[in-house]
Amino acid sequence: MASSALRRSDFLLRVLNTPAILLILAFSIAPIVYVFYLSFQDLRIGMGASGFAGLDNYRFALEDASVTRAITNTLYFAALSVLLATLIGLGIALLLNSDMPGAGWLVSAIVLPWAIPEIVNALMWQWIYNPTYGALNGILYSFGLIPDYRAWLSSPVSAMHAVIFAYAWKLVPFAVIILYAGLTAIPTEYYEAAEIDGAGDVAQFFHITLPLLAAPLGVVVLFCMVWSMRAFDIVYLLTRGGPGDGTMVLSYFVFAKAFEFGDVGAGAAVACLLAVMTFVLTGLYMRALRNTGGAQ
Amino acid sequence: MKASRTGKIVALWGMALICLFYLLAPPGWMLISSFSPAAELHARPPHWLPHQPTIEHYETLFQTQGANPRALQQNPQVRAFPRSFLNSFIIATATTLICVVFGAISAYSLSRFVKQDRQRWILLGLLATRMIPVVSVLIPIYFALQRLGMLNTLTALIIVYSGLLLPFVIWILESYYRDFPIDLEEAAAVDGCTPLRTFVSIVLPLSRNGLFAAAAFVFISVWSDFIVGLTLTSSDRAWPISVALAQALNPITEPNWGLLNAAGLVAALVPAILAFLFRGAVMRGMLSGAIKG
Repeated sequence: MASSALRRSDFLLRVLNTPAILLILAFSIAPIVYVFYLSFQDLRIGMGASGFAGLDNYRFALEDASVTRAITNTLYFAALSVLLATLIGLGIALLLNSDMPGAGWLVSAIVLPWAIPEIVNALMWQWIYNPTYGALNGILYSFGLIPDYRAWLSSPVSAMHAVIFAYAWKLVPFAVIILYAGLTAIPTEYYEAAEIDGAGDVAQFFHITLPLLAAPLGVVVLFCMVWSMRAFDIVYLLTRGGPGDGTMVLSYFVFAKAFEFGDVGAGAAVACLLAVMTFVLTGLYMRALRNTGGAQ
Repeated sequence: MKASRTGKIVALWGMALICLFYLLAPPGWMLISSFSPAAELHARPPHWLPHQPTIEHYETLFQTQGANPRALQQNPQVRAFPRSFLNSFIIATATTLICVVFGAISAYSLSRFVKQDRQRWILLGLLATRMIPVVSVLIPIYFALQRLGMLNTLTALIIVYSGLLLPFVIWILESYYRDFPIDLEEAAAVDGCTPLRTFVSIVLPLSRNGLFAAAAFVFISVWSDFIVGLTLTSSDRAWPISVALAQALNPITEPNWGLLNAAGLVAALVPAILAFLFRGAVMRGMLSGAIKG
């Protein structure tokens, strides 16, 4: 803004801003307002009359056992996916950082899962978990670890963990890239000094690497948490929330409630609940970021 | 001391290799499966490398001469595949054009002509819209499009994706323009160029790299989306590729897995190539915390 000649836009440039503004208003902002409005309505597809429902939908969202189950499932799913992706991401990042040959080539290979559409990821794991021909069964069976092929997606507990294992796969590249960047930013002098003081590898990891990796780890955990709380594709393709409500997560619950059962009001209320949960997490993230003074 | 150190290194490498196996074996198995005859995939355990590799699945997928008519008959949904591939291509290209053209104009205007405190609020608002789960906003969007009679059309998908992705495009391009050297623009202004003229003939050509990266992100996001396409379409007239894939995975009958793996790989090929070409930008984007993983 140094020059006064640059301080003002011209008419044509302003007019050219309208398409973006209109599109954002119509599809990013108005729907948020409208879904909030809908969450106070008694609106069921095919039931004709509808009206103001007061807090009924929110009472449903906070008290009904199916929603409570979806909330606990979502939190469990998100927490475990994030933990798995972070641990594996940290492992690969440490490997990349250990002066191994071909690290550059490996980084390109690691971006691959990021680029694979989530629905293809789901298809891939559906095939791996297949009860009659699946690769997971094939491997475990040939090593004699299971006596017979299993249907991994047909009991609630094993289905939940199978879905988590498949979803975390998609989060790993993000974790690797962020943590690898964090590792390369740690000055080697620290390790040299520790070496002189006689600190072993394990001591160096816990006293130098981990504390200096706190900020990147925070970024990985919070971003992956926000994404996994809205995971939809993988649940849709692998389990449709089943068996029973074993893998019913909030985003699939909203979809099923509003579009399959046609209870739009209740779906909208749960959608708002999900948005609020995401916002709380993001707020925590922003605060953490401010306290540590930047991500990297 | 020496021995325990070697042991430690072996253990670390072992763990790292397990991590890499987890990451790279699934797509590898997909690739192998897509070239394997059904009989070899149905063996117990399956043949990890096909004894008689075949390209039959790809020919069936694109319905060329070597197509297996029986496989096509048993998996009728696969017939929708070439069309949905084209649909995705049209939707992603149009959305990318809209987002990059109008996103660049708005990002530039925001970074140059908006007062700083207002600018901060707008950027925060743009970021906030990205935090809203898509499923929440899909309910109102569905009803609005239903009323307009626009469900199951490519046009509807293009404008919805544009509206959903523009905040993100403006957000990343604004930070790009903020770091842009302003001297050239000042010189152009002194020479009597209008802001629009300066933008078109100086700023746009010089910000090619940023624009290409943003375009790649938009294209990949649209191509990879599933939930928006699933909600707003109902037939192969408008199905994007992700929805066609999900339709082909019929839960009632056992699908032809070689064929489906081939379909999945073809669907993943376009974003994978783009991500490889723009891997530098992808990584920078991840580091700035702007893009979805």
